[in-house]
Amino acid sequence: MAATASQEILASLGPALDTCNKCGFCMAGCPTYRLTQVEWMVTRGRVSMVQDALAGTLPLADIGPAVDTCLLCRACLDHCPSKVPIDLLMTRARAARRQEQPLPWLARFVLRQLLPRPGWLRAAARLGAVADSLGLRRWALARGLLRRWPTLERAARVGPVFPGTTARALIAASDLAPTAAPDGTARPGPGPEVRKSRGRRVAYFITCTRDVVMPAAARAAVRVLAAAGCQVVLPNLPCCGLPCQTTGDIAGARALARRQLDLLSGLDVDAIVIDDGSCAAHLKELPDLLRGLPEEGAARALAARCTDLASYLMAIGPPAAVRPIPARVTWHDPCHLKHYLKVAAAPRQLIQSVPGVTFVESADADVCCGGAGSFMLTQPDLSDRLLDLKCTAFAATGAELLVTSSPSCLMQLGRGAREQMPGMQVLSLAEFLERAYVSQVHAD
Amino acid sequence: MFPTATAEFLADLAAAVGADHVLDQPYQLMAYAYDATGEKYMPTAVAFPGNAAEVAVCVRACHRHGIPLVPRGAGTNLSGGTLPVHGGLVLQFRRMQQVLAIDVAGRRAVVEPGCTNLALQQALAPYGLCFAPDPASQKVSTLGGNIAENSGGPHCLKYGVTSSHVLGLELVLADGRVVTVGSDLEDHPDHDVSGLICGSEGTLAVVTQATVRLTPLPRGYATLLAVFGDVDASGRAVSAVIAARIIPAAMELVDGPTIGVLRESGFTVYPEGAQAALVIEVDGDPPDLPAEQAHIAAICREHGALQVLAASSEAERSQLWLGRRSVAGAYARLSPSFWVQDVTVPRDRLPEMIRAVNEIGARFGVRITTVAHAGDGNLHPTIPFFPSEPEQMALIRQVDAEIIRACLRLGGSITGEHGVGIDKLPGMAQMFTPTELTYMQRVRRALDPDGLLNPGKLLPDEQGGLGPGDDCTLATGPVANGLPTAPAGADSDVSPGIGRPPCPPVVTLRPTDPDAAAAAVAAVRRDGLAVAISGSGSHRSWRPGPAADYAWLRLDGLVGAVEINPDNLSATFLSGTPVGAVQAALAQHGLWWPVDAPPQRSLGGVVAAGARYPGRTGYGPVREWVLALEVLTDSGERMVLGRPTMKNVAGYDLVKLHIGARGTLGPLLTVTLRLLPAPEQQVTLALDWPSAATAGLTLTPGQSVRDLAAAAEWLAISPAQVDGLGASQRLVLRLDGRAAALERRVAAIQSILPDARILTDATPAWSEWHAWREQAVAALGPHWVRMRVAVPPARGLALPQLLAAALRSVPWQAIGPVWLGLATVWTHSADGAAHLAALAQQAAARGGTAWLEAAPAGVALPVTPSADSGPTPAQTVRAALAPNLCYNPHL
Repeated sequence: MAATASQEILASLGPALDTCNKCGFCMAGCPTYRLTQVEWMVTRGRVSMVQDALAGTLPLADIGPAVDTCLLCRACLDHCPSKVPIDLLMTRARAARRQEQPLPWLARFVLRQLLPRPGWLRAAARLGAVADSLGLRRWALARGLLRRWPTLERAARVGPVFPGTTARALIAASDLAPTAAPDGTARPGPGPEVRKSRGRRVAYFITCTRDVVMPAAARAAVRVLAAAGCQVVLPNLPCCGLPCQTTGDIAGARALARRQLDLLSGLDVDAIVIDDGSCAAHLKELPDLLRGLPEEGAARALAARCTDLASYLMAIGPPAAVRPIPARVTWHDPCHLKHYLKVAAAPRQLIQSVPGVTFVESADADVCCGGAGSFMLTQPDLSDRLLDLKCTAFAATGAELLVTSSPSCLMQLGRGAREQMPGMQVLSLAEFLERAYVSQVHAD
Repeated sequence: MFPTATAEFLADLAAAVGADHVLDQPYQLMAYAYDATGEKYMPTAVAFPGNAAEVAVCVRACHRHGIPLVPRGAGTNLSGGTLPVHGGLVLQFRRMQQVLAIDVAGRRAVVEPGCTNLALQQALAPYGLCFAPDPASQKVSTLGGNIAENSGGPHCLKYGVTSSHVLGLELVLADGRVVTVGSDLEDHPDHDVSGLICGSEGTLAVVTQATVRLTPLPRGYATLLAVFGDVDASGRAVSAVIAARIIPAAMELVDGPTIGVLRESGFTVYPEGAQAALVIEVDGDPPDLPAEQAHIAAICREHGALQVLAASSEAERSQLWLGRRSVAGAYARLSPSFWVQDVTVPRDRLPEMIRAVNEIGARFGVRITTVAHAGDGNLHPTIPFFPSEPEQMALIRQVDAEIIRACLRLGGSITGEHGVGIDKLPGMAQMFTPTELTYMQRVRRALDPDGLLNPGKLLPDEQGGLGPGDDCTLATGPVANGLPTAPAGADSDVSPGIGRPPCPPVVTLRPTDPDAAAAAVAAVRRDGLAVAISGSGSHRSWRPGPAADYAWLRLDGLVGAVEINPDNLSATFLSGTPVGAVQAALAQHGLWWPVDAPPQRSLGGVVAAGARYPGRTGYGPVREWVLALEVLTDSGERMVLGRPTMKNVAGYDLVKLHIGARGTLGPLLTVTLRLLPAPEQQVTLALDWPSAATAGLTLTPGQSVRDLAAAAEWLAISPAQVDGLGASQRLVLRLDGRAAALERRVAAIQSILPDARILTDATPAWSEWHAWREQAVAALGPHWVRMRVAVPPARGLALPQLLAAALRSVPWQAIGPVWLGLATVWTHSADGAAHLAALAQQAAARGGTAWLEAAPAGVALPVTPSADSGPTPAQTVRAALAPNLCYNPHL
């Protein structure tokens, strides 16, 4: 039964697998190949293994080392003549594997129960914060209590630290003076420093991680948007579904996609701004996830309205900086932003337009940092080695500020800074811009 | 069949490279089951050796267990070269990818085989240098792979293919011995085994290290895009550009159907009705480029170009290249996969070949698009296909076979740069005669007697062919009657040995056409006679003659042109034709063979000797200027090696092996030359050496005397002999090119060497070069010897002191491109010849070498016994192709 389901999924990939000519040009871009230089860690090898599983020459269980190690960063596609849809192939191959070898219960609980329910997610994060404040995490790690669950132990070590508050709460408590909107969404009014509204109305998509892990970044994004003259609404949303997709839970991803369509489609806003390249890319590619399904058209319409913060600011014209930032600054390209959305110039232009900034381009700025969502938990060795590579490159720039935007990158590079880049501060783009655009940033 | 791997074999591998570096899990092995060809064959094991010693242990393990092995770089080849078709061990070089050394002044780098082409380029760029071969896969393909496939790329017309840039190799032989072939010097006395290894697809030895020649990065580019309404017009434009004495760095053609695909992908730069588009790029000194660009544009318009766009900035240059570079992506829109063919024809036949391809496509109802390296006559007809449809594959195979037939009909090669692998095996029998295939098989069997090195590749019939020596017995008997013999008395005064030979030839053969030569040699070989070969007799080798019975084959009767093809920049001459006559014949067509060897010497002699010549500095060794040879096998069968095409990787490059082999592998009957348009102008400058030596000669890439001059020869004569030269040492420089450019370059040289004066009548300078040996011989008396000296180029400017010190007490003369670390020295062998050994010693002390090229009987340099007892690859190959020293046994 399970075998049939998995074979069905694999069989549906045939034409997409055939697009790979095995030319090997992907080797020039693939970060895991750069680290390991073995064939099953590069795009064409991954494609080949899925073909082998489809052909029955390799058991599905054997292709794990190939398909589970893909960062889904799409860096290979910069070099691929045929633009092999590698992330589609990998997520569907993972889906096939899930038929025979389900995820552990905790992962299933997070994906299926927490992420679709913002309330539960916030409650869980609060629990986590309480546990941290009681020192439970440190105690459990020190006592080796999690040794039996290496992924969990890894999560406790390098995963998110919950501040115990949420983006919505921070924004409500801030100078942004939110008001409850009739539709139940919180709507912050324009902040005091906005001189004149240009009449734009945008929805700011508070992503799961922004909400419970880095709420200050969300508040900063709202402030920046307000400074740019936007009226900001804050719809109450569940997860976009990207984690389900990357782990091979396509049904779960589709269910969340439908929720997004329900909640966002009717929203009367000029744009839906997402300050996380991963969620932004996922929303913009919802039509692919829903291809051939009744919702495809609605997904297309929604995708057209979604945009990332940097692109949106560049499109409407960024506000004038009111404070200089006298620092050497460098930028890390989140993979989804660079390789999915093809956004590379906008954040650099925004950073460089701030007076006082000396912008230093880093080597390998667009190489994945190894955060890559759950990758940092499930592939600790590769993740750490990528981080080392990135830290070496960033340290060589002599920058004091490392700016990026996706939460995985912020967490991963933040760890990198703590462990091996003394003197380097890792900052979200929104928080960086907040420093420049907002005359007075209130202390938390 | 080969045995399967055993636990014992895997244990041996683990002991060799460490267990961490051996793969044996099915999923790991399946990851090495494919290359860019698309087929899959599971290997038995994969090992990642870390150095040559580990490779050697792996090779010995394979040998011991009878398991085949396949060396693998990035696995990007398009012919199946890295597919383990018989299973076995895949040796992958990810742990050997260092650039070990970069010698900026000497223009060479030492590289491990796993280093990617791009990584090498990146390491070199800060020094203003590059490794000229840049195949399309360069971002990922490795040096080892480039060498194994003798990779090309878009720049071969001007810069040559990979083997042109490989000086020496470290190899692990099939028996596990680690040897070096070639040299890190610009010249060496051995057979050109590294030239043979290039393009041998891992079937002869495993490359573990390469010394490659570096090239200055171009200091500027000028790029044009010319669009034509028919493909013939574009072909005529290509020929006209070359006829105008312009050798572009790249001339890339996309044909009408490809333009169609590009237009569908949104490339509006190609107008309606375009049937061919050429990207033409010249590189060089920025001041020279605008004029060349304008000239090319005018030529294209003259030949009916619908549109000519010229780039005037780097951004515009990228724009003009964009269409060509986007072809693969545009093809990908047509179908998931595409079949890429790789054939080469003489350049002038390219439009005809493209028409033939389109006609084949129409006949079979298949959409074929073609891109071509037009300057090389190398084209890639490409067929989109769906791998899921087997009947389509069958059709493609038929189309493929038709394309191969068409290219062979036009005198081409079945593969220009992708290699034979398994893909082109069927075509090999179409391209080569059984004799030629057997000859290649003998090379393979000699170097890989057990057939374990990448079996199933490159040659169609593994089991066929002759064993070494099968057809060669040494029975002596009467010489057959009716052979063409020399006129009476012709052999009384000259022989291939010393003036007074140890024994006279049994018979002297002086054929006047190749058929007669083949018949005569076949007859004496049937009788078991060894054959001594001479050309014009001008390059008398004063070495001991053959001691046993031998026939003397004089090739000075084989005189004349077979074919001169100006549009292909190639010409074929009979090998006895004097070089002067060759140049005179070429001059009538505005052509020139850059090897300006002494005019009286025979073409075959120059090629067989790998002779040094004045233009060696600018034009490289003789091997760069020979495309094909007709030779005789040890049984006197005629055989053509190579093709009159700029690129050809079908089978082993046996042309290289014969060049510089001094006839030891057999006589050359015809020589097909690679030509250049005759230079518009030549300027010769001369100055006294002390001035040159102290002028602070810059070695900055691109700006040194070495880069500015085509010939840069140091001429010296020991003080005791100074005669009409006016000084004991001089530097003579020759610049070739267009008048305007020459003026600037002369000024550049004079700014480096203020004393350099232009010789208004340059003839004496170069006839002096040519007459040098005669003078030397006359001055030095009956015991003269000639030695070739080579030291690392970075130490070349120290050669004068080296010679003066070593030859303090004897008269001597010398000549050579000291910038390349080369000199040819004449002296005598009197007084015990201790000075010869001293010279060799001094050269060796500086990382160089010196060897006797011509000497009286009994004079030899002391041989340092090598620690390695086995035969060298050169000896092995000679024994296989010329068993029992049957050709030129005295050498």
